[in-house]
Amino acid sequence: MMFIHTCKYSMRIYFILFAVIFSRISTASPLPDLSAWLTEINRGTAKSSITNSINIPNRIMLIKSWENRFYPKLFEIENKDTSGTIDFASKAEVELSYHLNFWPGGKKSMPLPLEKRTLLSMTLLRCDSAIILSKDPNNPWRFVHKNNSNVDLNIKIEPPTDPLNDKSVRKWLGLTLGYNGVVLDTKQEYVLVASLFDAFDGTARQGLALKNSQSKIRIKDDNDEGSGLLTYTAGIGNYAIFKIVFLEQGVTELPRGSKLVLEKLDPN
Amino acid sequence: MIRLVLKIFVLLSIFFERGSVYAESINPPRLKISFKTKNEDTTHKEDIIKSCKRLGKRLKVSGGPFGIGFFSNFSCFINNDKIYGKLKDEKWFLDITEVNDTIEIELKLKTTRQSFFSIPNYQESYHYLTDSGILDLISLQILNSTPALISLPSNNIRTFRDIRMTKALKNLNLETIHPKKLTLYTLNYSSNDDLWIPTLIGHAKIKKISTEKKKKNGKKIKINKFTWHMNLDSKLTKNIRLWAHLSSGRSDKTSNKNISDLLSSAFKNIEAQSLISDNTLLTHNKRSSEDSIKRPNDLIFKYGTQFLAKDDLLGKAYLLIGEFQLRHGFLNGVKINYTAAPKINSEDDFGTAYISWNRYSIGYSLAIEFDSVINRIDITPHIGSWKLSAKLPIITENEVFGHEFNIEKSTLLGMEIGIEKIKPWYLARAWSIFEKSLDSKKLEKVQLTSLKFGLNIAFYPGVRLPIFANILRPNIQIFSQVESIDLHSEESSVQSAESIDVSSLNYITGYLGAGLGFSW
Repeated sequence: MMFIHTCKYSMRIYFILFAVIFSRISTASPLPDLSAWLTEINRGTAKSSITNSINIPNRIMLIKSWENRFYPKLFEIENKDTSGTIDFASKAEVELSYHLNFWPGGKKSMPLPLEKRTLLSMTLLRCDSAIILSKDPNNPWRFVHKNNSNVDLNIKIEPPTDPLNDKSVRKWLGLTLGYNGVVLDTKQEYVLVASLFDAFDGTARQGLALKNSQSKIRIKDDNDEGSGLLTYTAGIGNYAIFKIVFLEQGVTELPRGSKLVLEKLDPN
Repeated sequence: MIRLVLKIFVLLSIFFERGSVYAESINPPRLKISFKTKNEDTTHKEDIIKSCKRLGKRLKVSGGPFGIGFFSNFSCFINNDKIYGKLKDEKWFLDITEVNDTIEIELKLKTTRQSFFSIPNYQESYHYLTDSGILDLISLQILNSTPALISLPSNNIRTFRDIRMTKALKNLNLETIHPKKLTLYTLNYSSNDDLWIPTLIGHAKIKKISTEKKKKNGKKIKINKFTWHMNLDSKLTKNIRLWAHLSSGRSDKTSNKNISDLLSSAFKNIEAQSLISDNTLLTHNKRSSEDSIKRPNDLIFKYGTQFLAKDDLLGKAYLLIGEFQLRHGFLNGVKINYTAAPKINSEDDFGTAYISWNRYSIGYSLAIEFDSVINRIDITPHIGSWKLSAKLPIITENEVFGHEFNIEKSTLLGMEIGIEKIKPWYLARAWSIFEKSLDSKKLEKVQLTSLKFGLNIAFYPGVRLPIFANILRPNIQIFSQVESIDLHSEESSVQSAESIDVSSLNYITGYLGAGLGFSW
């Protein structure tokens, strides 16, 4: 039985890849069409979204502070079409949502406790996840995830060592969650993959699939095993087809929702 | 090529499905409009039905100025009696309730208040609530507090009308309430949390696309039309319902205040035009293409009795007055007056003293109107005819003798100045008139000048006569006036034993009286 320990963005993957390069799965199915595949999996999904039925953060709000103990002030991230599948709530959306629900002369804002306030904001802004960036060194940074209206994760997280900006926050989120990609579907040796925080720009990548990770929102350091190694074949925007290089012994397939550590291969 | 198109399609569809929501997407809801009046009146009912239909139409999607509208359809009720539309699982309620001197307008979602404001209640009628301009403002005020001011088709450019410029909105700066910039979103509602959950799609700016000239009633008029220029975050792949609200937010205070101020000014305009209580004017308006509000035409009959002069003869004097004034229509401004002082006499040492006169005049009023303590100032130059026959006592130290003044038919010229205060239930007018007869070789050489001051108050009890299609509305008039008359003979006459020249005579009378007027 072969174990691959999770080493986020570590060089260990290179060695593994090298070791198994001659033991690749021998079947040679034709490469599926990526656009057709995306259309296929999108059709008929209950929430009409490719990733919504997968247990990952789909939409995150980064709360810097609270104004009047009610109105969240957000860390703004630019939402580009091809900057990963994860969406971020914006200041403009906060203003719109709060204006529609707590208008002058209408419904009164309540001085809710922090957790309820956070949940209310998440509902208003359609966020399943929130990260509270505390200015107070005595209050830890927190990651909150909810499934419908139930909080299923509310944990302390480590703040980044460097100040956050639009680019670094995505990398830091990948490190915090423990993954930056997810398996959407498989067809024989091919895997349809979504990149959560950046787009596939055509450069070669490899992916490490994390074992039994399909139902996990956050992957803890060093406690999770790899279940397979993938290599990039084709991509559009945030989506790509990877080919299975090998699977761990006993693993026959990569379940939908399996988390991935994606890493660019050095062209040199 | 096909592959490229497919890729673009997939990317776009992926983008627009990001961040899907947990709540139900909404369709335009139905609205129940309920008028709650203090008393039931068939005349009011007609106006309320008209008002409700016009307001409901404006609150429907794309039904109001600039394309505003939130609701799909509406029904109308008066005091729980259905008068229009069908009731079908309404969750939105608009209550328009008459409360003493105000009418309260409250919009509710189930039992939760969404907006509340009030407007003046002109007790005699609801006809001012049928005015298109005022209804445009009211619909803007109501929709300002709904979760969306407007619904725009995502794949269709349409043009929308301006606010109706009725006389009630005359001289008002409506630019302040033009919704200039909108935030576009799709809209969901979570009934569990009672939360509106929008998804931001983009923005829209208003654009005045044309100023058309149309011939209406033979006149050229300007019509502004608007369209919304949408700036979406990306192209939409399908036609979806976009909702929008002012970028400044739902029920924005500044916007609400601007609309409220304009409504207030519009009602003052109506007051100033003294039309509020005149249902007949609305009937008139119904026949015209515009439902603007106009001042009433009046026909007035008055009787006044003398209260100032103490002598035997003038103490008996009384006046009969008829007035006809047109304040709207083709001959707007025309004023006709007929006043008669029927013959009275008294026995004196020299015989019988007597006086009688009558005069009529026709004039044209030029008026300036205000939204202030005083609502109107007018001047009315007029021309007419005067007839007088009198033998008045002349009293000296030793004797009393009579002197005759006769004017068979003398042309008079005059000028009237008046100021008016207009309220829904009364019209007060203070006035002064100076008149002078002209010389005429055909007539006796007697000149007559008159200076009068007076105060008229008309009370409008709010009933209409059941004749002439109910257009006549009676009103009660009271008045008081003081008049100084100078009689001057060019040829002096010796009438007394003391050979006194009598060339002129002045007397002052004061009258107090009441009458009945009819307005239409």
